[in-house]
Amino acid sequence: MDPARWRVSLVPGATEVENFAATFLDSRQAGPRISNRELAESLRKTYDLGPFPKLPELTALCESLEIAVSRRRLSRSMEACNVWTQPGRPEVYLDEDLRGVRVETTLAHELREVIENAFARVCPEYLARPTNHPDMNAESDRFASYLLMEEQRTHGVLERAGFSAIICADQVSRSLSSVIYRMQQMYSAGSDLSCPVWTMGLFELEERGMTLNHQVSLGGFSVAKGSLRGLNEVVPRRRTVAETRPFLSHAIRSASPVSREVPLFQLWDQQCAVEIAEPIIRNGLVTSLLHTFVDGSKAGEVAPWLQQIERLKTARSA
Amino acid sequence: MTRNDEFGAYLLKLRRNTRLSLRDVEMETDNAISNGYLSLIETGRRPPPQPAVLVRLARLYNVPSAEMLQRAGYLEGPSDSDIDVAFQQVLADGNFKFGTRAYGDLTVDAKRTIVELYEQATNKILLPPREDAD
Repeated sequence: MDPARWRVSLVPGATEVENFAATFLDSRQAGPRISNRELAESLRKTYDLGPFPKLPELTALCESLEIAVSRRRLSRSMEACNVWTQPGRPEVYLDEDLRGVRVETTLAHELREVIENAFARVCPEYLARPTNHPDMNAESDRFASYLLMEEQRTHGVLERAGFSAIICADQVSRSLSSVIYRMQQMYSAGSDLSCPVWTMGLFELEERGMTLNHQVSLGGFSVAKGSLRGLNEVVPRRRTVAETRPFLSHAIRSASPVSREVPLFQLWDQQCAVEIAEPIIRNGLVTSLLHTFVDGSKAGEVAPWLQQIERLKTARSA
Repeated sequence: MTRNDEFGAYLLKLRRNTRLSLRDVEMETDNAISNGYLSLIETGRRPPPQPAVLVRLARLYNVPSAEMLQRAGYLEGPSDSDIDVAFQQVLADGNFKFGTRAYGDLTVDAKRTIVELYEQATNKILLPPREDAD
């Protein structure tokens, strides 16, 4: 007896995405949540998707799943929209002005929502989240992150890059924010993978100055919980303006990466962090700044990153 | 630029976006509009065609019919409350599921887009065309 299995049923003429949804649920125990990680890996395996799928692969995946994808002018505040009428096949519309790596993230995001509706179609007891609710957006973003950057391969790229999010983003052709987000997923507390980075913050150019809008903690470190004495005092809080901090201000003014050791106050041990500030320059203008704190005792793991910073500093000063 | 010029340029841009020739359009619309006449409209030398023809062109060019009818001066846009009412009807239809990647709460413009996609998918009309006040 196996009472905890999903009961799935397919109607005649079901689309491939419904077939996939049924197969996925059928092989799993019923529960309140679907693992986005398992879902992404199941898709990757079933449809032979690479570790860093690009737009042609994602489009082909949608075709295989019988999801129509097209471009259309959407509302100014909307990047994409998915619709599904019963009977019929699901459709995804991408805004005609959407460009670059954002198209891939957006398409993967929409795919998750279509699959959520497919789960509901093939399994009446599945408690589907309403895909038109803002809560679903975070869920779909998480899935997109898993699908677009396979865990082991991404970890390998990061290890070789000395855990530099910027180098990794460049090598796998993803946006910096999506790499930061993926690192947060991969190196969360309890993860089997380890990472010497404690925190990463992305400052973005706003009217008031370069402002800290995104901040992640890795490897169980938490700014909010004060899990490492000494570091909490130096890590900036969200909405901090970079120009108010001399170290960050220097990186912005010189348009060059900077790093330094920061001693941490510890009662029983000598410990330090490595603080790195890397301005990101577009069209000659510093548009954002990545600010990182690394575990000083693991500086060897970030050596390729620090070497890259030294090369950039030399090139900029020349 | 006259109103005919503006509308002609709009139609020409749509046709180029879809990579269709004048003859393709003639064929795809089952001769609803001849290639020569379409050329005259696109160059602003003729006024927009009848609404029935515009609806076929809108379908072919993958733009909302309401948008094309408005551009041609046949309609004025629906009010915000019309859009809200129509959007509630979309939400109430259990056979229609949708999701968006949008920033923050849905704007009136975003709701209108969803209503238009609903109309296109279901062949229902929720935003009734209103006569142009001109």
